[in-house]
Amino acid sequence: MVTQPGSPLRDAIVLITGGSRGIGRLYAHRLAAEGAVVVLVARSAVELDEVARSIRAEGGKVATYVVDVTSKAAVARVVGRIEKRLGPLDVLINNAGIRGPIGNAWECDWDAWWRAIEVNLGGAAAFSHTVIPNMAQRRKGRVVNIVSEAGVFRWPTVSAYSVSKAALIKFSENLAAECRDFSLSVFAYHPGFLPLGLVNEAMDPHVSMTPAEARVAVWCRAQLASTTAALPGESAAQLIRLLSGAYDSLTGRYVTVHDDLDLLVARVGTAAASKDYRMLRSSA
Amino acid sequence: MNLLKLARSKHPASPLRGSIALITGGGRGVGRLFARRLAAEGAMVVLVARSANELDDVAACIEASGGRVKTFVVDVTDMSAVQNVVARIEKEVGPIDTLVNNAGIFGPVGNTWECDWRAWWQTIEVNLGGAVAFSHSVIPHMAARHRGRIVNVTSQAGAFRWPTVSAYSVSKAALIKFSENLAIECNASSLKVFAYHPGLLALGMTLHGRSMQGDANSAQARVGAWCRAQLASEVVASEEDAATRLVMLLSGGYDVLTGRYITVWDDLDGLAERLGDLTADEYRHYLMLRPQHDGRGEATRSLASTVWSRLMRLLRRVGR
Repeated sequence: MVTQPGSPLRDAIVLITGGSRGIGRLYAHRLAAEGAVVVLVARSAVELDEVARSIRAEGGKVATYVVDVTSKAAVARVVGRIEKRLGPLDVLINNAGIRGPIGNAWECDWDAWWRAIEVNLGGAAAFSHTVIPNMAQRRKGRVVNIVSEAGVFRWPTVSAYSVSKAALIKFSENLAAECRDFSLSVFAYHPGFLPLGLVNEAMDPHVSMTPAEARVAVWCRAQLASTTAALPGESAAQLIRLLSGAYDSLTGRYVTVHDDLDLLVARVGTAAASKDYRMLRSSA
Repeated sequence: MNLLKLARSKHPASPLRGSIALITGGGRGVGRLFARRLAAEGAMVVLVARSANELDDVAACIEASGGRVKTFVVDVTDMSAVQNVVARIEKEVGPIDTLVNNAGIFGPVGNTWECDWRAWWQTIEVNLGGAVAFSHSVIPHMAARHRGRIVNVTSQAGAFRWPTVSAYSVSKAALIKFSENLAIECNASSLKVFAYHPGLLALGMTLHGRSMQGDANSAQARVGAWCRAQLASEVVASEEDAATRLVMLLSGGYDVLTGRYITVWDDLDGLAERLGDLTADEYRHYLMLRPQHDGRGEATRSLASTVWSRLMRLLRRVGR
């Protein structure tokens, strides 16, 4: 691996939740290649070990910790251990997420439905709640919440996922406004539709597939075959741009892999004078 | 007796007459307002809440004015309790025609990372989880009958944002998105789902907000001052309007608006007419329309907008 000597992420300490597979794993590799110290947390020690080995083999710096993101006490403990061993975190990427059950909301298993809210929203909020105090004190840090188009628009029969991502987008908006006085940036980032992780899981054929599950699988295949699909390399490159510091004026916003960040920054001046922005300031 | 009730009813021809309406958090605030109005429309109102005392108080008040009411004590965050109470209502009272998911709490105030975590998450559990749990339990009954309407009581804070009141804002955004998804899933069963913002009212939660004090510049003090300013302004909604808009949504006349975020200020006839245009613009239809004001309000707003943009320009110039 050739690390990027001039990368703004060089030696930055980056925590990635759900870093052992899918999009988390993709980002872990790319951020390590930028010279960041990547700290991966996930439930599976076996998967974490495997990612850590492959990052080290490429010459990257990595540390791993096993944690269930739905346990606030466990999250607080693990963040304490990480900061003690490696130093204060510069970047938090709330990536851990599950797709949740597929079917009409009232026909889904209730525990499975609520579990998707606990992991996707609760996990990100718990890590933010734990990590931000130190970032605020140092007046330094960036938080990226991995979200989805399903949270901006909708995804009937995958409602727990859609609702959790809408909640996470709104969480990012509120958090960014609260973080402004502490010079921290918060982004809601849609990595694009990728042949990785949750999308692959949804397309994985199994014997007991319900009609709703089959429809979702067909839809995912069609998306991947279309021009709306994203490229993993582009998705990671856009994340690295967001973390570079050059786009901090976009804090609080929903940003996608398809966006032209320079164009968005140029437009922020106009948007800041909008009614929406005034509303934000009058209540903050 | 029935004739007497009929005579007392303010709305003898109401489409809600004889229907069964379940209202969560019906013991106080907006829930209490809605309960009294739906009872006056001739609906049998079934109220669920945590406090038996408050429920008894609302029930006595509704019965005194000739309305029909039943109450059940339940914690909306306890899914098995919710399922039990819904089964009991269906058995003992009858088929639920309307579900109004109104139960909600304000949640903690302050920067998210400074809030008590348990209080933050409990707000999500009550405001989102409670509404989803009741929908999950009631819809199978409604779907079997192909008849029913669900109103999720939401807020502008979910459509826009409310820094330092983030748990509330996030829970309401989630509930708006839940309504959107659920409405599409419910199409095949002919059920309707609305996300309804009743407006800022001098009731319940807003009064809690209004009473907030704290050290100067604390989040509590700022939220308190904001609520007091809002309540004193023309932004404040009337209770009559808030209840009337709910009754209209439940009348069946606006079922084409299913899945949408509706506010107390919206012209429902206008929205129903514009549906064709609105569906052509995904994002606008999601964010809905702005509050409607009279000409004076419009003038004030445009003046404020001019002043603001000049101020921003000045600040930018000074910054340079």
